[in-house]
Amino acid sequence: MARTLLCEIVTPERIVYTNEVEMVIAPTLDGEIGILPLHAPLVTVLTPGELRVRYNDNKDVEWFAVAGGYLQVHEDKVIVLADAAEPASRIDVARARQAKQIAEQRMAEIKDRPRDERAGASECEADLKWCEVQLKVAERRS
Amino acid sequence: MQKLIDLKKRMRTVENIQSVTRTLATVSSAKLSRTRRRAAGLREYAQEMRDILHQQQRYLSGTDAAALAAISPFFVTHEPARTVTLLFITGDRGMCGNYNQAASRLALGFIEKRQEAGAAVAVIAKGAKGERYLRRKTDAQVVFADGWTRAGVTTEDVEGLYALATERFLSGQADEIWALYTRFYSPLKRVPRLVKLLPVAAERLAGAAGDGAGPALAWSYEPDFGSVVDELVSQFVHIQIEDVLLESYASEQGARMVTMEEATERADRSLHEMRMRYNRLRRESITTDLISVLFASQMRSDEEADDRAAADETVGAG
Repeated sequence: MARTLLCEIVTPERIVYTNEVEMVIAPTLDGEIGILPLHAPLVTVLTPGELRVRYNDNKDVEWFAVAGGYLQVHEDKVIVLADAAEPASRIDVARARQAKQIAEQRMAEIKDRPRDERAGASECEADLKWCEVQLKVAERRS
Repeated sequence: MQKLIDLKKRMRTVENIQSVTRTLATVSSAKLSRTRRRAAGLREYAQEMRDILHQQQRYLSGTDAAALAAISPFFVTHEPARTVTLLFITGDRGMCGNYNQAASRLALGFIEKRQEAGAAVAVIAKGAKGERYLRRKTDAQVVFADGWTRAGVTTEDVEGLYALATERFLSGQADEIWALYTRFYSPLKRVPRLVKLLPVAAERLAGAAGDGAGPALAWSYEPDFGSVVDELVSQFVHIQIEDVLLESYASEQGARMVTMEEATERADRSLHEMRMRYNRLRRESITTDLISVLFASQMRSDEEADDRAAADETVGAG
């Protein structure tokens, strides 16, 4: 049995995932990072994107959509504090599409307004990004 | 008869009240279970976040105040605090036992103590009950008052209060921001509490027990230490605000559920009594009516018998 990492993915709503895994690959500001056991202690900011974990002798991969947050590695324990996270198998594609359309519409509306009245643009952008990430991860479903 | 009608009217009133209390209890219990689930998830998240911040304790306690201030303005302390803002969370409505009163009493004590110490206290009131109470009892300035929405604790609530609190803190209108909320243990047990939201104290971030031991680790940060901690701290304040709102909301719903269930039971008992009395009265009135009818018919047949006897006498005489 290879050395493993304890990976926890937690959002303000619930604990999404806890498992012993062999590798965590997470999206950060400077691109993806891969974390293996015995990794140096690290705190990093996550960007919205795909997070995946490998386990069972690297044979199984599980994909997650995460929307920003933090990741800490400390003594073979990886804590992912995500604003939102969803495993690929549980993503509701129809709902994500719908949400994306709504976000796109809102985005278009905001863009039409004069520059100084663009309140909520960043939230809208984050929503849109989150929907896109969900759809992308949903495609990974095997 | 009038008595019977009055009693019937009173029974109907109690029935109406009971249907209201029953509905309130059901609604509250539904809201409570939803809020409890969310609060449980958040508690886990907050715990993990505290863990992460705990790991950074070494760095935070090692740096001096000026360096901390450079990392995040939320670390800046003002001693002594001349201006204090209290985020005071209560319910909009009553019918929830002593939930509002207990919180209000604690708030009053806090404000009086701070005012005696010479600090100016301003209040951000979330919940109409608490706002009215403080306006009546103290001269603390209520700078912002807001009620609850049907949805309970929403992201907008959290964002709004966060923006308000940090704005007051950063602009120097408040040296300290406190929150008064009610911690939820069970529908029967809840305790009003005070917690300091801002400034975020480095020691407090670390949790209660500082285990100073352990080898110093070379932590790496991406993108860099300052921005990671800065973000973590502001997220931490967010989470705390959401936490106090959820706890208070759960307490309120729990209190209302229990109180209303009790009220429903009381209504049941008094309805039962009234029903017994009503039936007794009805039986009595029937008996009285029956007796008077029997009496009247007896009288009548007696009269008829007399008449007949009189008639017989006349015939006999003739």
